Amino acid sequence: MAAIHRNFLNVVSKGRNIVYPRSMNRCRTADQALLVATENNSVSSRFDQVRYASLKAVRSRMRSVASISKITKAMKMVAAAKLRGVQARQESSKPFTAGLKSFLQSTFHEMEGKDTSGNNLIVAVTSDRGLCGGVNSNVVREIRKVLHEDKNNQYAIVLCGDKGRDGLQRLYRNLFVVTIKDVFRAPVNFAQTCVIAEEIFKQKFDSVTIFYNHFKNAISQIVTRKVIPGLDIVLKHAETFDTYEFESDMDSAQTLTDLYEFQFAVQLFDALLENATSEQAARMSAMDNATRNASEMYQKLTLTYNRQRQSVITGELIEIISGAEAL
Amino acid sequence: MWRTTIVSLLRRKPSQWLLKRSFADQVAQGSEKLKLGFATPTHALRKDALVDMVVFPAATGMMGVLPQHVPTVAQLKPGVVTVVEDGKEDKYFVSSGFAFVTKERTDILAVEAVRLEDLDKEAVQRGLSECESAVNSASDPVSQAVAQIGVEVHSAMKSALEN
Repeated sequence: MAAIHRNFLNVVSKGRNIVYPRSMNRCRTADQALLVATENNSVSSRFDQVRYASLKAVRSRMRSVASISKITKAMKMVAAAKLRGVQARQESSKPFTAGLKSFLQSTFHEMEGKDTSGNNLIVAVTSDRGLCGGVNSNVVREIRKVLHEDKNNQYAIVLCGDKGRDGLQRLYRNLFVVTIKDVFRAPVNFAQTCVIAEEIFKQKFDSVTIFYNHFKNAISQIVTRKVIPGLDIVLKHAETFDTYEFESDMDSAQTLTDLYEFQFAVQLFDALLENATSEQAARMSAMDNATRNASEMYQKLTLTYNRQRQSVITGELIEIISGAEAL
Repeated sequence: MWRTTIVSLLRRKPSQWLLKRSFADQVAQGSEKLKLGFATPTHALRKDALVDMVVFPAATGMMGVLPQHVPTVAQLKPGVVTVVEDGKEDKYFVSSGFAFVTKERTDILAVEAVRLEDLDKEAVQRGLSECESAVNSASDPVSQAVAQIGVEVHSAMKSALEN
């Protein structure tokens, strides 16, 4: 089982640049080295010594690669089916999230960059499960870049999804304020998003930046950052809303707070949906690549196996013939 | 010559020229119609539909929006949204949300919305009495507030069904 796991990582990580914890990379062992050697076609000395055993090793290797390719193929199909579901879900939610856009453009977006230095909250939207190509490491890389470049602002990190934690905890563990996992276990829904938003509002911040993968199409997902000014900033610049009349039975500050919380939840909902779709799409193509790599590897191994087998037969024939001649 | 045009028009499939006609009508009436988006997180009830009027339950009272309405942001309370479209009225019950009226369009974003005729009278009555008893038995302020909201929504549903 351990061997299968190792091979699995080898197959999967070949196509894309996935960052694995270092301990996993260290598990190169004899049979992995053997594979590297077979690819370079410089194994004759090794195989001559233990003729049958090496054939057996190649055989078991082939078997495990074949089963890995079956697994990745199944995972690809599962991801494809899930992608269809989540994409339909996103499509039907689009009018809801898009309905806010024209309003946001004339109000909240105007405030971008105003007084937003200070306490900055980063919301890292990542998936809960790995093996989905570069979506998570891309988000992590983008966040690292932001944290590395800017020294003036105070940052805090909110993690939505488990994989962001793996990528950021080595350097920025002390910045974590909220960690939410299993965000994508159940399909993304608005009620759950509101709970997450509530959790975020408990923090003090002057601006929020949401990092997520924008789903462009099945083969392209783009890391996007969405900046939302903090509530205090919005209240301070309430004149931005002067073009609108407000219909509410409460005072304007309370209404603005309600509106702020609502639009925040909607924007977060949008980001979560985009990321959920991107995750499945990326997993689909990653598993497709992995399957292709595995079948390529299988072909190479078959070639090696047959060559070995033939040389064994030739060796045996030579022994028999020379034995017969000696008689 | 005119006759030939008419004949050629008639010879086409009716769907083709009917489609063309309706497009032309929309352009002509564009300024008198209201562009409406009415959506919940899970589905869209109207998507860029051109309607005559929409009435929704703003926190300050029922609010009717016709084309060329003043830009407004309205908080919704539980109540009935009525969409008037080609003389037909469609009624939906919404629980809460926001409505944004801009110069170009009107968007109603409801957290939940159902067709009024899909509401079950008995279930509403049952829910109402459950929430009322929850208000009385609530121990902490939070659960009392939750029950209070339940009462509000249910009584709004009840009065919506009675009208």
